[in-house]
Amino acid sequence: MMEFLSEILAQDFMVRALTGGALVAIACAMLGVLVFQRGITFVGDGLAHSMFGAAGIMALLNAMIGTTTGSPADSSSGTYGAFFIWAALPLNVLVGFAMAWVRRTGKLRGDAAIGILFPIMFAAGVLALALRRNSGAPPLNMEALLFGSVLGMTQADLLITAGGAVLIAVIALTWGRRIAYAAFDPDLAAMSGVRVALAEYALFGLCAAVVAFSMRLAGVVLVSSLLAIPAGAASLWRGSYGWQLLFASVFAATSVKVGLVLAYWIDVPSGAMIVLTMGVLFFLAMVTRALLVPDARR
Amino acid sequence: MTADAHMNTKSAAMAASPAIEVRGMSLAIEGRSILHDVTFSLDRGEFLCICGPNGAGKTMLLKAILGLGKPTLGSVTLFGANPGEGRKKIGYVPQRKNFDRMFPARVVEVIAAHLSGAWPLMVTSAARDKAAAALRIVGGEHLLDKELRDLSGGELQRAFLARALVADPEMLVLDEPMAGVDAKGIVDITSLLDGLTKQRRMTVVMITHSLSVVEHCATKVLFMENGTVMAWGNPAQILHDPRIRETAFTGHDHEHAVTSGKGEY
Repeated sequence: MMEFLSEILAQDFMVRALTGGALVAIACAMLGVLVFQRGITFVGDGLAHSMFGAAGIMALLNAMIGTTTGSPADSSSGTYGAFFIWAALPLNVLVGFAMAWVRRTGKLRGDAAIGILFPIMFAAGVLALALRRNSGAPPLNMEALLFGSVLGMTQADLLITAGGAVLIAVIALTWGRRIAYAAFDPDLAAMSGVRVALAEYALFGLCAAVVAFSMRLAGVVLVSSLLAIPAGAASLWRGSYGWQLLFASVFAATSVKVGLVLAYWIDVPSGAMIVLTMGVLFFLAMVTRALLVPDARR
Repeated sequence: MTADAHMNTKSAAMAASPAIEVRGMSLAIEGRSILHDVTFSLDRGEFLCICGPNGAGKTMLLKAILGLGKPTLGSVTLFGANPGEGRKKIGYVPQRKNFDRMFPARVVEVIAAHLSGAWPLMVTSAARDKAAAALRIVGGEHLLDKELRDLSGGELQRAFLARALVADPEMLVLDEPMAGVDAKGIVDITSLLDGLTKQRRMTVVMITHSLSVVEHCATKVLFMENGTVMAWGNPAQILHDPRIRETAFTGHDHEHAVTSGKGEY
């Protein structure tokens, strides 16, 4: 076992994945608690799918302009074009703002605004990728985009990912506490000086960014689990908001590390193993709670 | 005039300005008129009771005054400033406790959040002391570490009153604060509010269906019907009108049920 672990730690890409993955997981978990309290768990799925659209559009632009930066054709090294991800990030943040705007101005309840916007973006991505293929550009590594591929994580990717994750975690711990207050009760928060509309836009924008930062790790289909499952596990316990942030962060970082090691071991996509690990831990947490707190009131 | 002198004139004007000034305010939501041409001015230190039948627009009027609802016409000023600015001086107790029941909130955190304007990760000992002191005023010291979702209606009202009082507000705004409170609680809250206005010259604005509260505490009464101000004046004038007595104080809400069930507080 020790030999196996030292073999993993001798691989540069695994060290990068474990470091970046844990940081991204913590950022996701913290925002996840906010998202969970705001009752818009679906936002992770929505923004991941819109991220597919944003990446598709950027891939098309890339083919049209003819730049070779982060060429998607380089599938031999597992790369699917980090360029698209970072270029798509601001576009996805704009989609996040648009979701918040539709939700507020259209007075749409809960997840409706998310459900309206993300298929539009996803469809735009499908269209963009088809146009890209018709133009004769080399195909994208779709599996990596959909399910995550830590193999392609370069040193530059790690720096961007880690920087973004740390920034988002710091925002969640400081300014994010206003978003939390607004999630608790918007009117009371407004009376205490919170700008509630700004808090809503910020939450959607931060989620869009964290989804982009997590794409390498988990891919389009699985990234929302990083927002949803740790926060859901934390909510099983009667702890303060601060305690929930801590629990979700530890839960997510542990799951990502265990999942990555398992993925390397059995040679399967990292995103799938991370989500399955989180699933197992979530049900363990549920069973533990049922045994420890038989009369838990919810 | 120098900039300093200008600032001084401005702050002097703000200090002298009435607590609330509403001029020709109308408010519509999705084309439906909720408030129509409301005008009144309330001096500092007054105790205003807003009365009227259910659906008269009382809560919306409070929200517009606090800047939580945007008027379609007319203007509102709080202590001479716009509501967003002036509401910092206000302690507010909403009618329906709309907070998220799933949110892991303890009473001390709700009070501390009001002090810092953000949800606390950990409550500082200074904030905890202030919260405890505010709870003591409303007779709720034992609630400090309780979770909000475990509280009864009356306990919630005390917790929210403590929250409203903790930042030493110049004005309290209360939307049916006696709703869901037992007879003893009503006596406690009424004497507390009476004391606050008389000793600290705090301004109070309160929506109520309780005739006895109006008779004991109010210095001004605003009677509303269908989104308009039907009567404004001191309690003696307003309560003189049998139709107002009939319409404003027979609303079938919790508060009335409690007061009428227990007789006089």
